[in-house]
Amino acid sequence: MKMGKIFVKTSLVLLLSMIVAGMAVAADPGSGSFKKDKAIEISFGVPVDEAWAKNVGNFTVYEKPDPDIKIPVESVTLDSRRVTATLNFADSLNTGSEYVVEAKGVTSDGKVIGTREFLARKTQVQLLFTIFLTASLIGNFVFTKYLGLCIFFGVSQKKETAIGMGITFTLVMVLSAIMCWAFYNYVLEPLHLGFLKIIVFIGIVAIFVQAVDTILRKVNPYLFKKLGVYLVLITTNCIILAVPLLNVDTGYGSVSSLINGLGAGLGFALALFLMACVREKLEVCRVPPTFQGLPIAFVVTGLFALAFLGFSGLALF
Amino acid sequence: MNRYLTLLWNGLIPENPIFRLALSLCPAVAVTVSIKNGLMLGLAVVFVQVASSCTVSIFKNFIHPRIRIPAYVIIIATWVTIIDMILPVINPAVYKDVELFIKLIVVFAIIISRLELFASKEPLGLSFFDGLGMGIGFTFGLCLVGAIREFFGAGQLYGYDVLGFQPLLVMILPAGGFFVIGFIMATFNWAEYKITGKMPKSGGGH
Amino acid sequence: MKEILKITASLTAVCVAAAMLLGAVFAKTDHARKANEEKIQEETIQSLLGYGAGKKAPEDLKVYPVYRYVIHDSQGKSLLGYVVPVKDKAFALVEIDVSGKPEKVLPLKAEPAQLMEAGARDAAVKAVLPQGFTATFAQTLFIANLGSERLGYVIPGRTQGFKTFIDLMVALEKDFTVKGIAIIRSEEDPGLGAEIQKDFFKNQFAGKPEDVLKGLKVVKEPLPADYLSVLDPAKIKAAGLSPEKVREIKDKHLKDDIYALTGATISSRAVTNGVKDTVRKFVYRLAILDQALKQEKLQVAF
Repeated sequence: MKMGKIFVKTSLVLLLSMIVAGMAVAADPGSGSFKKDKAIEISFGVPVDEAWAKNVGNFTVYEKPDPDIKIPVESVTLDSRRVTATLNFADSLNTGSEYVVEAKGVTSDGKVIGTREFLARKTQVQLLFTIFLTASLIGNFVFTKYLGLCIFFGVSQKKETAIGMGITFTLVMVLSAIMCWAFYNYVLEPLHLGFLKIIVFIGIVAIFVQAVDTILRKVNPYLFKKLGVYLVLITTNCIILAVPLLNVDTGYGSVSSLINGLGAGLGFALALFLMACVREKLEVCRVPPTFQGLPIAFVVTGLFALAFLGFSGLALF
Repeated sequence: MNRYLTLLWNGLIPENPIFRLALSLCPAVAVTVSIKNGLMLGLAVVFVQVASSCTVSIFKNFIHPRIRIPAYVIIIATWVTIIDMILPVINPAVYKDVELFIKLIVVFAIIISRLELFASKEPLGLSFFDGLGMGIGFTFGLCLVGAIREFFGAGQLYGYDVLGFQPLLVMILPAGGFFVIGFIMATFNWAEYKITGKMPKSGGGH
Repeated sequence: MKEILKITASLTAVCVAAAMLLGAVFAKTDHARKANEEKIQEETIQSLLGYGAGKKAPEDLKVYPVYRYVIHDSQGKSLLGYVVPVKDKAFALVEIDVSGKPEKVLPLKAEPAQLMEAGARDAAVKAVLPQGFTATFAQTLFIANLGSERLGYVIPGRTQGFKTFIDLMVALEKDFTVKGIAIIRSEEDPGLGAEIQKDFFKNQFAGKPEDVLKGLKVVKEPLPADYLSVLDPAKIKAAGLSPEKVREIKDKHLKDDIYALTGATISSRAVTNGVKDTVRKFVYRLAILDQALKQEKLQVAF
């Protein structure tokens, strides 16, 4: 249980720091940020002349993939220090896309200091957090994608086993996600061997699990005694293969794949834990004989799935 | 001949992979929003199961016992990749719906457990029918769940409007899948109790 | 030692056999799979233009693909490049800068089949560009002619749906009135967002003229009963409505906003905005392209 507590505490700290980082407005020059979906904020680093800034003709805005479609700026407002300008638009912007803002002939204190270009988009942290949230809650692999059920019902009978499996699974998941991504992008793709990905991924996972098994056996027998039995079961877990396949299909980069794996693992651990809590209680309830064991577990999972449906529209950024 | 028929029947009811052995549950919930999807995935599983069972049965003396699990995995993965390449050519529309699950057939515990328990020990003929029986039982399970969910959720059967309205939308959502399988399992338990007088203990779930 | 060698040899043999078998099947099926995808695309385009199982496409129907590329020169300046079919089965790359001024026209050496395949097409475009220039494929536009008369246009588009992307195709008449839309790919919830694929939703867009489309919004109201009865072809048959009655009801609701799907407002909005954006950008770009072709006096096949 102590390990479980440490695990939960660390994950919460990680999550909170990601949220805080995501909320902090990007302050580095050269990047702009969205203010709701009707404005873009850019920072020049130096105070600019009001007359120049208020002239919307000095700004050219377009979506990065469509440089020929110019988006008209409705108005520009400056903050009190005249360093940050907010460009307001009549139509809603697509915050999922990247926008380029070209400021021509930036004038500061009467002197023209040149043309500046800004790129407005969701920050990397915001994007990663969205991926994490989707993988763990909105698109929870057990309750909304119905994967990993294989192990889910077997291991979720006691809280202890659930946490043990959850931790082991998350670790294996994160590392395999990275290894599979690296192998696919550096070996399979360049050699046009993409169709071998199913075999290769399952091979990587199997080898990795075997390696962890052997290492753990020698290095930390205590840990091995607690978690070793789960390792073998992980190889036949649908999620462990699904996540690398999804990463490849969506074309995620290395960090995104890692975060996706982390979210999937933690989401699975959460599902296991919740299920274990309920099943422990079920054992002292009066369940009709025909329903005892798996049937009632299925019905409970159905109820959880309905509950998780509530996360559907969740979007922090 | 009798032995073959027993094996076929075995996979259908007494040792039905989904409802009795509780193996490979993932697709049973996800894919069964309609009979058509369940049927297509089921047939793909039949193909992979039979092909793998036969391959292992033929080569059982050449596979070293120490590497038998990795070897089984490679054999299954090969057949899965083959069907993954052939299906989009035969029926692209259905392939789009079951795409991810075809790829995941590799981790279906049912296939590898059949290879381990049966195909690696029995001759080709028996392995073929065991694989066929299990595959058909699996397909039957998928279609049954699919029929119930499609009928109550969308008012349709195999795409044809039967009711003209949608009674219980929750049936098409994942929750519905779980409920239906739970109830069918309970029904199987109850049937076995009525027939044999003993209350069965459900499989551990893999 | 011998034991380990035997095991390794055995495992390697299995792997190699598997890889060879897969390679063979891949080589055989890849070609068929690509041909299948092309056939489906062609069928979708034809059905959007009004032809299909019930009405066979006439002999002189010709659909010309025009490929749009975004080109960056060695200094990072961007321009647009259109791969257009010209007379006598040849092709040309028309370069237009971002403000709409045509730059130059370069003849492209390629076969039509080659251009349909992304890799070969990218290579052909790269071959005619100077060193240091990069070209990224952006979009395919389809221009449909009946003989020498313009029939309409089919443009693919992509929008962010409730779950992930929604790929759609919009068919326009000659005067940019919407002929119809098709949802190519979506991963919305079945029973909720997935209903965007149903006729009664898609057909709301059919017939909307360009100016109505510009200000189109989504309203959270249920479909009026008479409108619903004419949107689904099966329902029209069942109710036994005459073509004049259908026309009358459709005209009555022509200027209506799009009625959202129950429980799927976000998906409905996504499709509406996707259609609006796709059409708006297309009309803007087509005008520039037409202007450029006239200025450069290029004889195009369409």
